[in-house]
Amino acid sequence: MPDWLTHSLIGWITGKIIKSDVALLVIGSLLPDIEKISVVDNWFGIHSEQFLAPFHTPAGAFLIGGLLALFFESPKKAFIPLSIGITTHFILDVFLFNSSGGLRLLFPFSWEGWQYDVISSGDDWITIIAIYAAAFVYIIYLYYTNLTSKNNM
Amino acid sequence: MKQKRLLVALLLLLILGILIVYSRLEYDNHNYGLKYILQHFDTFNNTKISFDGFVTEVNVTNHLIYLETAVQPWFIEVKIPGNQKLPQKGDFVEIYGTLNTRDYVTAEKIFINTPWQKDMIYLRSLPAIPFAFFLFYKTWKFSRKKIRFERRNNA
Repeated sequence: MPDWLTHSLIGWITGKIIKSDVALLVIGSLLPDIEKISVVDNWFGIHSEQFLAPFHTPAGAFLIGGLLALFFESPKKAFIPLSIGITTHFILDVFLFNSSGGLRLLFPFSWEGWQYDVISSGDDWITIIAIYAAAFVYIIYLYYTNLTSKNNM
Repeated sequence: MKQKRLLVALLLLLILGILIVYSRLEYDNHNYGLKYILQHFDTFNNTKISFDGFVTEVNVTNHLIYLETAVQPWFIEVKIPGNQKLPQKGDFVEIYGTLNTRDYVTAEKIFINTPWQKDMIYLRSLPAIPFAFFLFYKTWKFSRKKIRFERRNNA
């Protein structure tokens, strides 16, 4: 996985660009990594990967997104940004080299792993690019917000 | 309306539960760690495998690295392509290549991480937690009465 900072920044950028609910999009972009609880479990000698693996698949992540959306005024409206966030997560992750075989995009129908081996999870340049991209989008956003408020005066 | 939500929630939980049980039962048959690969060598001989581990030795002359394994033969020799950078002893490597013999792999791709780089991913992840919480609570508040999140007036 790219780190959560990268995932959340890409979610934030996507939310700003498509003018969707940024908060829910960022939450969605982190949802599939619920699976990473297994890393903490491993420290205590508990092997929970087998239980948590479905959360890092589109099927599991969208189900969790659906469950979460039920806690909002309009589940449908909440589910859309959550789903977009989840999608950005998998788009980023598919470019990673994963020694355990890649993303199981078609789970539970297939266990085949998908990956394009472009980046290693340890690489920090993708985080740096995400930070610069987020800063750039934020500047553009501020510029247009100021422009709009001036025009309305 | 509330009942409909509850019904949908139960349905989603049921499907999720089925996925979790299915994953628990089948996981080991589809996740081949190096230990499993070596224990079932005949199945994986001359096939593409991917695995990771810490480098224990480096042979610069022959462009080889050695990784410890949890089962016999206790170490594995990995031939690194000449055009790729050799890792150093102690580095964490992710390898994709062909298993030629029980203790020899010809790598096609290698990703090298120093030990601190591997841990840095967790450190880099930490700022995302307050960032996500800040964005969320800036926009949404929880109504205990309705048991759901409501958009804040100023959001």
